[in-house]
Amino acid sequence: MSSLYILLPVALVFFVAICALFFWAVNHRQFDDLDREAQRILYDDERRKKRADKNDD
Amino acid sequence: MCCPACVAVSECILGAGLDDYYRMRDQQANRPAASAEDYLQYDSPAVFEQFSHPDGECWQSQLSVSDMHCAACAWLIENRLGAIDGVNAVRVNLQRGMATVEWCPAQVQLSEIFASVHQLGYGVQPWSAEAHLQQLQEGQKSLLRRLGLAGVAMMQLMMTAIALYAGDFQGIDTDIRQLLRWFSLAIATPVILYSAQPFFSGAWRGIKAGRAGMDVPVSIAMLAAYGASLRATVSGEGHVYFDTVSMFCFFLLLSRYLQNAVQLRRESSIRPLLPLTARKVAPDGANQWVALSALQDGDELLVQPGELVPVDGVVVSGQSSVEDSAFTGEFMPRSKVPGDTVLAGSHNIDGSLCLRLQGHPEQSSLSQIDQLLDSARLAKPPIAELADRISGYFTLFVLFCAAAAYTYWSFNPGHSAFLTALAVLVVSCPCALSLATPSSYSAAVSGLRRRGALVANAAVLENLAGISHVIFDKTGTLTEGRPRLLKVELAGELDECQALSIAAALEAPSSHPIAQAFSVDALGAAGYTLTALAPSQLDLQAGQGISAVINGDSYKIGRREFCGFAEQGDSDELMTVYLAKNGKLAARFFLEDTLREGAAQALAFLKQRGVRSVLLSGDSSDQVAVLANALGFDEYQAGCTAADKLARISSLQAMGGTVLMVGDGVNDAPVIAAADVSVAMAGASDLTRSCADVALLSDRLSLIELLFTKSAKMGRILRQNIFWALLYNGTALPAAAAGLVPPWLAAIGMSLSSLVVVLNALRLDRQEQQRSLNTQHVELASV
Repeated sequence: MSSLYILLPVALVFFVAICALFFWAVNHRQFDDLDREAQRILYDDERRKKRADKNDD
Repeated sequence: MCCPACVAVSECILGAGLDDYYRMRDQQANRPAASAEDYLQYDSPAVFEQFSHPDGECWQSQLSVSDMHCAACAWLIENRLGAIDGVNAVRVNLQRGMATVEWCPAQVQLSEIFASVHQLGYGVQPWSAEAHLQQLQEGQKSLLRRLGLAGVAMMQLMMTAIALYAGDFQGIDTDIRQLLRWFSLAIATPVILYSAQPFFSGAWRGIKAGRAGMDVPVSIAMLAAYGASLRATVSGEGHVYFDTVSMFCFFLLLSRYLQNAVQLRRESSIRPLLPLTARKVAPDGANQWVALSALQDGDELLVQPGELVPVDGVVVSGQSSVEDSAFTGEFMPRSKVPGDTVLAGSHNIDGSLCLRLQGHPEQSSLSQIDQLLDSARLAKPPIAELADRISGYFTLFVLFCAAAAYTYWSFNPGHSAFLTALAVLVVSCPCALSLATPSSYSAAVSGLRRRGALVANAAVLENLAGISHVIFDKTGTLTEGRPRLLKVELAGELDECQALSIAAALEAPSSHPIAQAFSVDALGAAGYTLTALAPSQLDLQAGQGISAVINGDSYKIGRREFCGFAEQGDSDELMTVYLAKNGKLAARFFLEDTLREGAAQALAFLKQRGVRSVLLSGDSSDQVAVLANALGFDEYQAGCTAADKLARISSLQAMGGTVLMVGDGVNDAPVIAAADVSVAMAGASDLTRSCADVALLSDRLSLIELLFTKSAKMGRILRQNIFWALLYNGTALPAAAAGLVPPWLAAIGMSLSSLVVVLNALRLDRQEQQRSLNTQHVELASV
């Protein structure tokens, strides 16, 4: 059972890491509009625009 | 919109446009002011005029108030501001987070009003749709962070809780037990310190306002359970309830998050309405883009075909067809010539117009109607408030019981007074009771949302059960508002295909809905083979018709008068298009507005349910009667004005009926406000959608049927939940007060009771999900 003394602190680290990751995602607008992101793949305007920008350079 | 793909594209564009706008705004965002001095800027008339309008000696200002959660908040603000000298009236709209204040500059400065709201602990800004939306989004984001933390913590704590409970039965090393407890404490502390903050601040406001809302018992239970667990952890004695604390927090945050999500979605869908700039025409004829707010009464503006009219104005020159379905609900464009009035929000279709601005650009008819509707909505009885109040009383009762149990067991041996009091608080926590309603509502609301119906206020689902009459509008509701060719009557030497080919060639440059009926696509789909023709000397007369020359023959298509014919008098003039060849009648085209898919099924469903269906249409043609008889309406009335519809609803309500109104135009807005439950179609004007109880996202009338079945099912599940919650609380409370329930059992009982409620409520959503998956498979297979 002494393995718990290592595993629980590790779980604590994971807990903090997951929360930090989640906060990062929320703060970086990952959850702002879940509907539009699903549709974005249907339109390739953005990629084309970027490629055009690159060609200009 | 012709197909789901178009809807997707337009949503995509609107979404992207909005997003960019907010990204730009972030740099110059007006953050809520931190101190009273910062509000002094609002005392200048030039500043407050932007969000206020004069009312005699006084002004009416609209403020955006953030962080309001319940009726108690609205009550607090109304009372606090009402007590200030010089403030005549305060109305708070909880749903929109808006406060309307009537105040006299002679007695009070606006900065004092701002500071008072700020002192109560709410964020306050001048009302502006964008700022409000941004506030909502920020609030939702912070709620999501709290929810996520509570969720992850809950899962961790459940694991250790199981180990600890098992240890209680089978025995556990003291060291291991302490290790698990300290671990739980480490996880639960951020939940209390961060995730549960909204409940604590809400409870504090409630106490300040003298009304115990739902937040008070929730906070006390969480703090008590956390405090007791903390004590148990440190002392090594007693039981810990960290899992209870986090579960509590998670489920309550979840229901709050879902409710906010619905509000946010609705608010953002009504925003991109009017353009922010307009083309101003200088005296020398040149035109340039200027911000709407920089315009003055009397300025002249140019509106090109295809643009939205940004302001109310009078046509100075030019002529065009203008579609003002936002006001009339009729999709048939009207011809506008110099001298006619054009309203902000209407759609200019086929000609350039020069307008002279009337009044203040931001006080258009559209925004005035919006304001009227806001006050109309305030008058609706908030049923949800009642539920809150009842659970508030229940709270007081529970607190009283806990105190009584504590006192009793302090003087009588046999049980520990603290543990008994805690058991009473935990076991009978109104959790199950307070979750019963919101969890069923939010499951039903999200189930409906998935199928394409946006429910604005959940109490509607309850009202739906008692509906006795359903009133339908015709154009745009039962029909699509897009005419299609019904039949062709030939008069000259042309055959059907020649006549249609000519019509298609002539109508090609026009974007009028009638012209769309003659488009190559529409006619091709109807099975006609057309020959391509090249018309010359094409002349488009707005609202009248089109003339052109093809192969040396001159043709005219359009209204009877335009083609120069006498009255034929046998059918509805609006829907008949004439074609003349060299001044002689060549053909008449009869158009019909397409009936929406599912209309017949929806009517059959209502009949089967025993609900009376009524058709009230603003259209005065015979088509109303034809449609009503074909669909089996119980009654119908053609040529109704909004006042007629309103009178009909009032008379039905006076006879004890409960009325559901399905409509789309703003002319239906007062009717929609008067109806017990209102449904706005997807094609409805944004204004109508924002004031209706239910806004449909797609125009399938089968959604009406879904609303009824869903509400019946929700009623059933709600009753089960409340029954269970009452039964549980009714037996557990006395048992706990008698000291028969140890706190650990109380915690399990409470968790299970709320779990039962939530899982039962989720049935409303889950079955829906499976069914919609199935229909998707069917749709794919049929493609």
